[in-house]
Amino acid sequence: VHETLDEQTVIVHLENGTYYSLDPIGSLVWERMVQGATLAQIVEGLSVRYDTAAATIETAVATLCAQLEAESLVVPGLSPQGLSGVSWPERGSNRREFLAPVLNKYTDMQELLLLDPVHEVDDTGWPRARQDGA
Amino acid sequence: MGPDPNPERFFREAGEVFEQAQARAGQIEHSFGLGAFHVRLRFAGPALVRQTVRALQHLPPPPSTKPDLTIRVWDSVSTDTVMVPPPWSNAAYRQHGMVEGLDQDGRFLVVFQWYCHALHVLDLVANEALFWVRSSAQVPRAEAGAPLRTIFHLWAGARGMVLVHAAAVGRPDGGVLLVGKAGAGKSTSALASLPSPLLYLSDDTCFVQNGSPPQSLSLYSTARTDTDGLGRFAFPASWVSNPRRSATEKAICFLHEHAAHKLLLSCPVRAILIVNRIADEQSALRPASGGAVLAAMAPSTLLQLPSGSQGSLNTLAAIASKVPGYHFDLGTSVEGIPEPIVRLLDHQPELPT
Repeated sequence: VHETLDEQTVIVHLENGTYYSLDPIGSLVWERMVQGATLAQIVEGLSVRYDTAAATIETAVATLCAQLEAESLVVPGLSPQGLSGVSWPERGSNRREFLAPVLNKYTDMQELLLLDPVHEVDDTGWPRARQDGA
Repeated sequence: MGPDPNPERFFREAGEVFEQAQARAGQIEHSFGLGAFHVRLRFAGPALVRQTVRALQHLPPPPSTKPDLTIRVWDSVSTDTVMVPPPWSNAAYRQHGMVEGLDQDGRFLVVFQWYCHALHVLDLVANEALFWVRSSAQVPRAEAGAPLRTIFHLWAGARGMVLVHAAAVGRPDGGVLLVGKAGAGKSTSALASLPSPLLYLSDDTCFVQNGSPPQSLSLYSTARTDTDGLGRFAFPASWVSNPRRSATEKAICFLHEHAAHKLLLSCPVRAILIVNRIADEQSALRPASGGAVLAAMAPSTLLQLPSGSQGSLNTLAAIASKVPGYHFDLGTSVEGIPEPIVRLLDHQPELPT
């Protein structure tokens, strides 16, 4: 599950307890990916907003995409055609410096999911009582 | 999944076992108000009553005659009854004991929590729930500090509320949520408010209604501390309800039994503070973005209980977007903790309603 607020995206992987945050540029990329934009469309949109060579932006965005893919947060190729109209926030009058997007990963909550491992059942069909006496 | 995973039939048959248990062990009922809602607890016999209602006894009488949620609570051993078998297989259990694939339309939510060996079933249409354990002795003592939490959590989503992992302090005209990881200082901050003008709403878990402004609601009167805090700043040792606890167990007290005048049942949320301990003596506030608040509040809220969902995250984001956020750098002076919060509430403009 994911949500973006004040240009910061929070992504929570409910199955494994890992969660992530994306900085403002990472959030811009993420939001466009969620809309179904292609890499080329994202690079084009960022290039007109940031005072940086398109090749540099493309490398940084591709790196982020690879990280998201490696974390199983996105699946490549679901929208190969892209969108006809990708929405972007207002550009503003001045082009800003592009900073490579950062994906922060946190694993400190994973233990919350270990409290209830899959358990064996007894002959009544209900999970066996724990034996540690806690 | 078993041969007939009909949740409606299972709920009905399990309910019949409860009625049988109540006929044998006796009827006991408690009702209380949770904001505008009426929550009714029906017990079969006394075995689970004290450990279930003690943390809830600060709540007021129900505001209406018709319950908004009825929970049937029983165990098999003390009532000499046999629970019907589950109509699902072992393969249906997911994270936190959530039973998956039982019900296509989402009417019935089923969780079997192994750590307290308890079955929780909620019927979202009838607003009826079941809480069953084989034996009351299997429920860990610490559960008395947050009884029926899973059922309240599952039910809250359908009522426009979230059971948030947060401490909360304030005054009737407004208060703050204190969010952060375990050990960040949420409980310390809440307990530090006891000798101050601030009132205590929660040390770990409270309801938040996504209104304008958001509203926090007290659920438990529980306060917890480790041995370091006992008698030093938290509460006196004489208030502790679990004196024979293990070395890893926190001391628990039920504040309404000792300091009922310090409890706050609800208040508008005026700010959300991300708690973080620092080495300096004095505590201080610095502005935080809504995104930072969401990152501090959402993961532990969504991951500590079953059935975390996109809807819950959206609600948390909506709440975080409506009130200002701050980093609360928690200094070493416990006495100094309430002062920045009091100052914030004195100067933070009231949010439009």
